[in-house]
Amino acid sequence: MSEGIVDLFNMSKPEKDKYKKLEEQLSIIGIESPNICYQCSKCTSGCEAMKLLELQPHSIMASAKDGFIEEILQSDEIWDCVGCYKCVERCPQKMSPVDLMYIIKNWYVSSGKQLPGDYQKLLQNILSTGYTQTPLDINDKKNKICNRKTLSLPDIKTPKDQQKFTKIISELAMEGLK
Amino acid sequence: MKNSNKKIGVFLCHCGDNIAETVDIKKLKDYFSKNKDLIVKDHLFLCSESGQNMILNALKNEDIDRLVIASCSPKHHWNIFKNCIEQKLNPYMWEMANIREHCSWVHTDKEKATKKAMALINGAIAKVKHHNPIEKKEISINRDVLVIGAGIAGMHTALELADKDFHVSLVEKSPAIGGNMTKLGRTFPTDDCSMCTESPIMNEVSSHPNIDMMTLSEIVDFSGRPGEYVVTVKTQPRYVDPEKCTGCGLCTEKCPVSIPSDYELGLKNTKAIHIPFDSCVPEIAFIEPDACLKLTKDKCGLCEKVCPADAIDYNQKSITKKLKIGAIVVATGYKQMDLSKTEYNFEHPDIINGLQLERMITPAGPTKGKILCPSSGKEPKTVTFIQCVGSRDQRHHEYCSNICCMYSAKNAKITRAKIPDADINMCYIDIRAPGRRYEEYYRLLRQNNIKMIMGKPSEIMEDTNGGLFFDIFDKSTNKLLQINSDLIVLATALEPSDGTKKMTELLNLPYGMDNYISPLHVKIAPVDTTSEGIYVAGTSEAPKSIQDCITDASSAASRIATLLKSDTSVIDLTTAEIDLDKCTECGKCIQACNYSAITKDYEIIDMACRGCGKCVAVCPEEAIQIRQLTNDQLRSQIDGILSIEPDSIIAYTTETCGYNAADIAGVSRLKYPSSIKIVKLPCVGRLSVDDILYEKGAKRVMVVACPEGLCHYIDGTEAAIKTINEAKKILDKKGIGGEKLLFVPIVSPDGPKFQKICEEEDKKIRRQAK
Repeated sequence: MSEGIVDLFNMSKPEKDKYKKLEEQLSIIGIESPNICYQCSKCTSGCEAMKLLELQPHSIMASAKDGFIEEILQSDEIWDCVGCYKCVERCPQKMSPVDLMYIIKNWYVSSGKQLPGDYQKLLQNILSTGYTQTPLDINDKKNKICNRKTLSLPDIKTPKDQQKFTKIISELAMEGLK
Repeated sequence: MKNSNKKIGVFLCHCGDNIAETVDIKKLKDYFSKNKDLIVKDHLFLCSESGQNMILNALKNEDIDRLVIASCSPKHHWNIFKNCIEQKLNPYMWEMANIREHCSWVHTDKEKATKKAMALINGAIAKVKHHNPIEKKEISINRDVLVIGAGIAGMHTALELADKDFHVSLVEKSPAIGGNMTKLGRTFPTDDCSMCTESPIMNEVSSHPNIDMMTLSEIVDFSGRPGEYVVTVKTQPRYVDPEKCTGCGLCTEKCPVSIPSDYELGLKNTKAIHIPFDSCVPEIAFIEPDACLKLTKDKCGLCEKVCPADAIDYNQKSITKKLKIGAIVVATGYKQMDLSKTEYNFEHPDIINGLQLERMITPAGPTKGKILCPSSGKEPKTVTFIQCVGSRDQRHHEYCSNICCMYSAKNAKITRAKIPDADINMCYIDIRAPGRRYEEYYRLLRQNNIKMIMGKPSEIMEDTNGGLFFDIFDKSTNKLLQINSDLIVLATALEPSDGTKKMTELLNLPYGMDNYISPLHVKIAPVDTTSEGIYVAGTSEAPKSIQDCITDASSAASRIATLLKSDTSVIDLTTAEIDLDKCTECGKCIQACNYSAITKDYEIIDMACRGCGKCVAVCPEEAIQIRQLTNDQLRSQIDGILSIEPDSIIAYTTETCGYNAADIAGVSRLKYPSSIKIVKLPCVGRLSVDDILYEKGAKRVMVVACPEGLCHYIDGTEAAIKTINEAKKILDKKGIGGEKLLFVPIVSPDGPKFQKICEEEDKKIRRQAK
């Protein structure tokens, strides 16, 4: 006879230790336990990666709450998050699906697994410019085009000495892995 | 203080063999009889009629001026003995030693139990020596009542009281009474028209001989005490003579100044002179002074010219009036949260709140009962309701606004009736329908072909044609839906009104994180406040339905009828008193008091004081004392206990939680070591650092209190924790060791926890002894 909850689709069981670790790491950045999430799914309604890639942040929160961490770790979905932080801004319970996914992505990388293809490109971007991506034009809720200029934001700066910049960034990245 | 010529009666109860089996009564009697100042008697059942007669006879025949009764818990028979003693003595000239629940029932070793009983009785004897008679005080009561706010809760309170023959001043800030309820189209769960139910109440209020209705009025000053408050009411000029105005509306017709109507929530304009709304009470015109040309620029004057009743009076001035009253009801209500600058795009004219839709539903409203898109004036083909906007949201309001599920359900149903072929959607997280006929009502909603979508949009957008749409993840189908909607109705969070916020400040009422007025106890005193004589009704306490407002109102009226039942009230002075010779007017007691019971002139308002003793703990001069537990009494009790059993652990307990938990342990016969000696306090907030340090060598001290947040005197526990931490530091410094002082949060029924802690603490002293 089994104990506790079992996922009857794949017979997996909640990983309480990993969930606890997840809660601890979230609390370091000031975010309460995923247990608080009341599953309104507002994050998913507004998720930029939902329309194209069917990312469902609320469902990841729910899986995390239930303790199915390995399932999240192995999913392709978490890599679809573009890190726009809209879910955090709009969440009525001050949860952060995006940070939860970052933590799990970090676990994935530190376990020595290979990054998915697009992320290699993203890494390259960071190494050469310090940014994850180049700024894009977007439409606001009145369908007006918005960019840094229309928002009167200064142009973004790019490194003057490319080689030196890459070297420093790589060193910093290695520092974090130590 | 005791007169040395008089003796102390000590009465020992066998309680059948409940006490006598474990406590050697004869030994106790022999021991205390040696003391010539004591007269010691015992009885098989002291609470019985013959037991009481024994006490009465002793009081009659012996030279006794105070007594100790050693028997059961005071929770059990305190009143029986008090009533008995009161026949011959002041009813506070005695003390009860609990040798049953706290002794015979929790110990097995007869010798140890007897010794402990001896210590407890000795403590009670030492304490009672310092008892002084506590007198009664007759307090004059003004039986008039002030009700602030004439919405449904305020009106109903006023009527209830007026019908009970109390004179009520009903003060309303607006030019007409009725409050938010007059704005509603229909009300759940009956779907009857709001004004049809409210109009008769408004008319009754205005014509009731016991109600003095004051519109355009606000409370600007407040002083006094429960039973005798003095309140200043300021009435703004209406610029129209209420005696002359017939409400014909000719002035409004001719007035050249058009302004947005506050009452119609921006859906319609009105004129600078207008009658607030159809069939309002009083149905008299009113001039908006900031908009009127005559009043601002001394031009125009048209209304005066056209008024057939000659009712216009530009020279009216504001009037201030002082009212003397005995009690106050705050019924200042709610307002809708301001949603501008949120992700809901509330700036768009076709995104409205629930109250605005109510105006459209009303036949007398801005659209004559038609549901229309404000932008185009056209009937919407799709209407969408979005729930929990600003409520249940940590960024805005943590609480649920209580009524939105039901009123949105009602509004959706009415929309269906008004526009039969419309697409109607309702986006929700949870539907909350707990109440009589509520869940049934929710089923009716589904029968009306309303699309229920479980989910919440992240934002509301506009397309290039100005049309509204939003994306929503439908949790039931796992689909991302785009919903294009002509009209969007937001179930907007309710907030305390501006008037409610003002009253919390002026009347010094505590409020919660949500800014609503905190009741004295959310469960068992829901309409009382921390200030005796001030009550709260309706949505100034929390968002609630009309039916709940009515319940509140009846309840507040009943509480007031109890308080003001006669012209005088007699109270026992189990309250604080200040020795003004010692008082340095440092203000700490005033600040500590949660009940505004100490005036700025350092007088105790006996009606308001609840005798918790928090003031005693903070007084640096020991100038303030509570009569039923002075420092001398408390410290003598400790001395008395320790002189018999020096190796004791003193457990200070709160009357409500700690003491009860110990009683429960007794009733459940949970055994613990006899080193534990329980001392009762009204609240642990009563303990000062000096009280705690006055241990005269007690082995350990426990403070057994109501847990944080559950203090029966609001924050006595929190105060005690601070005191304890301070005392710990001093104990550490003195080398006695702060770890000997323990704070134990406990709830009343938790006898097993009390037992466990006692065992642990006793082990510690035995370990030290080795």
